[in-house]
Amino acid sequence: MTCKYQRGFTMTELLVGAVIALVVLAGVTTFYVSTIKTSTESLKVAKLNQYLRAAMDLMVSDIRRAGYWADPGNNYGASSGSNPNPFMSSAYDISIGAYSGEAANSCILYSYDLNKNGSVGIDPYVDNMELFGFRVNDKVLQMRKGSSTLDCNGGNWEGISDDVEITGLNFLLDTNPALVVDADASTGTKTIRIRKITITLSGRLLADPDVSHSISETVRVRNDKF
Amino acid sequence: MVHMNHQCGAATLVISVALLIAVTIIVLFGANTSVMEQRIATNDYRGKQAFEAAEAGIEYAVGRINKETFINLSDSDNDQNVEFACKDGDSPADAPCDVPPLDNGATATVSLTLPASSDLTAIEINSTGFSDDRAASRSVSVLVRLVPILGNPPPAPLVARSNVDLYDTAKISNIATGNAIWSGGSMTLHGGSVVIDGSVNDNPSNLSGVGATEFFDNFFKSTKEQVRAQSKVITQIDNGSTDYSAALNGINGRAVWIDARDGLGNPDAVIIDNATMGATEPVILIVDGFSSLTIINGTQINGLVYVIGPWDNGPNDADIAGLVMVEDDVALRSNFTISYNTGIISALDNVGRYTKVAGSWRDF
Repeated sequence: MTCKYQRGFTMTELLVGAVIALVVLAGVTTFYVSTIKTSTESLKVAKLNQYLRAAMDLMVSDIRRAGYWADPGNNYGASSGSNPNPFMSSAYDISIGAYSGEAANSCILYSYDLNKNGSVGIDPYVDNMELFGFRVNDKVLQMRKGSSTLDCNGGNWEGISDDVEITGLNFLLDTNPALVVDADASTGTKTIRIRKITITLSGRLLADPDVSHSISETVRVRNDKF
Repeated sequence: MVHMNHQCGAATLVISVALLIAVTIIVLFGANTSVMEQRIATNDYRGKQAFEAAEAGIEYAVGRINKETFINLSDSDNDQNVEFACKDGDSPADAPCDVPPLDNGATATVSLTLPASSDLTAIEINSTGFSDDRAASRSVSVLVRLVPILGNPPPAPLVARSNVDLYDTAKISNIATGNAIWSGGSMTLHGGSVVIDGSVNDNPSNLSGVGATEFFDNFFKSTKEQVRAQSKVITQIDNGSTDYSAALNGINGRAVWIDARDGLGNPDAVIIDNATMGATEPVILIVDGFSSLTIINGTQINGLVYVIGPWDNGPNDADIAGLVMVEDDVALRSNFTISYNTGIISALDNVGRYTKVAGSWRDF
């Protein structure tokens, strides 16, 4: 076809063409918008998941160490019923409570011999802080970072959940049926307790409260208690 | 261009192409997020794999050093590293010991060190686990302690919960601490040639009226079931009258539990014929479920023989250096000799199992 003979489009052709173009354009735009939506949604879910998983991993791997003591040999041969491990003494053993005003069992405290010197370090300023904890306070997950009293309501805590609102945190301590080992079998006084802690953590994105997720994990504290 | 004036749809084309490019970019970006997430998940998995492998390494080492007892452990070069056989057939060597790979391809390396010099009763096990691609590694260490099976050895070489009958030239001696026989019933000498070096204590307060279980618990650290679980168990070999010496000869430094009741219906008549046990490290031999027990032909046992049930050895000889405990009546004849030996009895502390010490686990 050459320019000489071309006749252009009729009005009908143009109108039909325009309508088809509009339909196609509308379809493509819808597709575009839904892709954007899905992608944003999955990004948000991924972000929340990642955050919760990281927080859970941190808690699990740290709580697992509770009760470690550099002089454990002293445990052996201790008189019945007593446990010389300072990291398992009533003041520093695993305990579960709550910051005032928060849900029950939303705070855990524990200790372990981080610098392997055999005694409980409480001073945060000389890199000798061996009292640890996690709690939820006003929808923020906090990690204990110092001060001498191991208490859910006292001491210095640092928030570790940016961009995420913690809607639930629960610690459940399960002391299994005690195993009797190295005991006077007739009285069974000295026992070993296997401790498991189930952590449930739920949260939602600050930016989009509709995106929420909950994960749960059980950790067996490796250092059993007499 | 002239045609441009009359064309229709170019705008659609351009906008569509632009939108498609935008969608493609978004999809690529989304895919990138997925890849990222997958990477994080994989790293997480590898880390866990390495951690579990390290834990498996600890369990492997505990099982390994308990398999044959502590007699296979040594630190002959005094370098605080324990030499041990990593696998069956290996000769004892310092670490590192490569644990057989796990099913998922993860591996672990363990080493044994002594926290206190030359004391093999406490050993620190260090284990490093690697993921299947060896990209991740985790280290775990734990202290194990040798817990003796025997808690409270009696001061007399022959202890019976019931009556003791001695005949012929049987000899019970304790020239070290003075007590020769403890009997929860009565002791009778038949004939004048029995030799007893040491005092005889009929019915001492801690034996009078005790039940069989209490009798056992008096001397051992744990219950019969637990002791059995810690022993090399020899179940009934035959259903009649069987010589167990082939299974016993040459055993050192561990507890052996003969259960002649299991498996074949009737209890077996146990014979231990000319066996030598405990020549280098004493043994604990527990005999259970037999119809009769005869230790004959100069069998030499260094350590502890614990008999569950009444025991009449007949006119047969054996030589036991250490301790004999019988949960019921006992009758010994001929030249049967039991002698108290302080060195052997203190070495019985080495017969036991390594157990993890609570509070010693760390991964940092």
